[in-house]
Amino acid sequence: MTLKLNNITITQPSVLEEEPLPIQTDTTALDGSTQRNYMGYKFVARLSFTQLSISGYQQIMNIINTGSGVSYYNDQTAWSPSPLTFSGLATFTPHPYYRGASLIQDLGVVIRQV
Amino acid sequence: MQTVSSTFSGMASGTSRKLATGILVSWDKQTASGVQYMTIGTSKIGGNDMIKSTGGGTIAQAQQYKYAAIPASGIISWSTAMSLAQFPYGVVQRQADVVIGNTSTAYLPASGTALGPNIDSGRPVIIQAGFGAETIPMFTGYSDSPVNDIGARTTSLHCYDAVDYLNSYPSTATPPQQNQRGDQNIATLLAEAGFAPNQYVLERSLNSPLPYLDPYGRMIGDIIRDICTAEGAIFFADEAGILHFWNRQHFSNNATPVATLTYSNMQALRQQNAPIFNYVAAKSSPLALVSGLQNVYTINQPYYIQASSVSGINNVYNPGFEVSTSGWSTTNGTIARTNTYSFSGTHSLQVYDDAQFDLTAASGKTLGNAAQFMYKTTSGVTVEATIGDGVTHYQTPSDSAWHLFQIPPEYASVHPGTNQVLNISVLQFSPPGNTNGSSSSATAYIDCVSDYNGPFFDGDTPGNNANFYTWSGAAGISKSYMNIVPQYLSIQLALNHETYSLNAPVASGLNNPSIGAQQSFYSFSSVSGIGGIFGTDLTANISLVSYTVSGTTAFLKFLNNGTQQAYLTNLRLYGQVASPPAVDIEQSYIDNASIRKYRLNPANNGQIMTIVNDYIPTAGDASGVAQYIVQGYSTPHIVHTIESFSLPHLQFGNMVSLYNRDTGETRSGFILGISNSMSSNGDMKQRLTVQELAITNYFTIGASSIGSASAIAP
Repeated sequence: MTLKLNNITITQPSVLEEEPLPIQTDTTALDGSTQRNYMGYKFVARLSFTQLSISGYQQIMNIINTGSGVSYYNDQTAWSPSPLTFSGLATFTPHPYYRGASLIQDLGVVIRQV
Repeated sequence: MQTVSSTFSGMASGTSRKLATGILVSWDKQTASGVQYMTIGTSKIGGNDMIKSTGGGTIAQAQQYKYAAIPASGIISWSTAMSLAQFPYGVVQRQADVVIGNTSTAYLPASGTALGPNIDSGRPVIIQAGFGAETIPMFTGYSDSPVNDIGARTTSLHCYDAVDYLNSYPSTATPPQQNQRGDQNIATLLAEAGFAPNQYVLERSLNSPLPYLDPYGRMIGDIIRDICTAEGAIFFADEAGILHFWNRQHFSNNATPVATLTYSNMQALRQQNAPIFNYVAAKSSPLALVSGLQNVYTINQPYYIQASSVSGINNVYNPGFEVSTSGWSTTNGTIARTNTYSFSGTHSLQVYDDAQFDLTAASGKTLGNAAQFMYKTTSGVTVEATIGDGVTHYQTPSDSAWHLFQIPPEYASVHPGTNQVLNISVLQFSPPGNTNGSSSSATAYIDCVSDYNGPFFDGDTPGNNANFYTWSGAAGISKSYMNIVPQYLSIQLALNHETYSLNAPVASGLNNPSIGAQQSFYSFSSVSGIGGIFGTDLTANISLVSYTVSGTTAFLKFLNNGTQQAYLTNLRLYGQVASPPAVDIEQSYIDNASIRKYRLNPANNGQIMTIVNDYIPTAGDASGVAQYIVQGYSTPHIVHTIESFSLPHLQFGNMVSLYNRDTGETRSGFILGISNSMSSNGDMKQRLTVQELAITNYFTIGASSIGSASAIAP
């Protein structure tokens, strides 16, 4: 599996979740009947890294903190079409570093399709 | 209900709906050379072709623009709303709000961007919505000034439909209308406002023809509102921008439900009784033409008019007179002319010499673009030159030395090349003081004519017979003008009657012995006195150029052909006037049973509701509109306020059925208020105000039976 952010191959995450998020609103009538207004869906990818090397950690942080969106690429995905590619916005959950701690870090990254 | 495909209506009532929407804005307001409509099998989904409106194949005015689609990913939300006021008549305006994403700052009015200068008010806007690949218009109109929220990165447009356009369009070109029905008057006014017949659908007015309507100076929207009020009619623009006029029988004639709302497709339902009106009066004082002529204006102040012509200048004072061209001389390479003009008196005069030159490049010389020449003339003389493009360029030297006159290349259209001809079409020297009571003289010389790019040749200086270009023809000297400026007197008079037409004013001597009793006339005098001291009769010098009348305003224009200033001292106008009836029309309609039950007009603080509208033509029409309101409101009619599963193709005025599961009743009413909205999260909403109205089966010749329940229309 090749995983790329901004066309840069990154370290394989420990856990990778990809799923489409539907854009829709359900409305309920007086008798409880429901109608769904559906606009489409957007993908979200969740990447979890455990014990990431300092170079791998910095590589990913540099990619997702450019101030712009990121392009996501995964050539082995359950979703169609494959490879899964989309432009997204990244958020991350770093683990704090304190002096004396190990340089091996955990990192969580979520990329939501724009 | 808008016409849609069965697929559309099926999806609209489905439990899971794939929404589609689009917003089109004509930022640059360029008109389209041809509007392409969506054609199955030809057009592409998501392409530029537009969904045709449902107005019988007509094209809304705003649809004639070139539109740019807001990208679907940039639409944050939109909403539209229109609602009738308290009563089922009047003019209804639809408004819309659009919020689009502006993260890219494309919609900021920056000067350096393509869209920037066009981010302004008055942009045509179309909102569309639907399901899958099929959308229908939800709004067609014009935007107000866009609001850019820098923090939120959004651009908001508040939009109005064509009714707003009419509300601010004053009528100035439509003459008074005689004996026209309301719909006919509206059609005439819409034509003045620029609407073609395929842009509106007007039902026949039920009132009698209005004897007289003078629209001059009034906003067309205001006039249409009064026409609607006079007969209980409705005027509005539909989603595609097509204008509609519905008479007061429209609801009764279209009382077929187009949709059924139940507890399964309504999210909220609130019910309230409409206000009670059981005593309505209608008053009118309609204008009508009065036979014969009446005095509509008598002068009470003099009007001054200057003299146009002047005498004593070379015995010539006709406008456009040409003097001999022999006054110009060509000596030693310099062409020159000396003319002396002197004139006096109170007049406005322009005196100038005009020369035309054909310049041929000398052998071996190349004529470049544009032109330049040297000139000298009397200080203060204005020099004008025109080449090729018709643009006149001016210089006014402050001394009598030689000066360079250049016409830059961008302002001249001369064919460059060898042995080409440069035509200076106009060269004028205008002495100063060419106004009242002055004298003037001027001497003019030109020399060293050359093209703009080339230098003066071989060090040529003015006055030397050196290598300047050769003149062709008769040295080009053509003519000298003394142009008399005609003097007009344009006056706007406030008449003392609404006047349909003026009796043509004729010139009359100061004592006007030959004028008939009701003949409009005027006379001019050398003295401004009114009341007997008039001086010399100058009427013969003055001619009446034009006269028109618009309601209570008359416009007259005189020309002074004489050499003396004059005063308009006598003016009396007669015309055919439109006057109100001796006794105002007033009719009432009362439902005493309702008054006993609910008291007098509880919704009007117990006061008689009086409609005052001079567009009600007759007593029968006044009675009809009063009866229409009382019959519709003297008993409680339910107003249903509904939030429903959105059906975008529902329209204002549609009849819908409502099933109330709690009462087991099915009731029907008309949509008199409708709003639609959509957000980027798929939240599509529709709010309806459905009012139950009194439905009358009107007697129709050829359809109704004698003795049936059909009612004679009021």
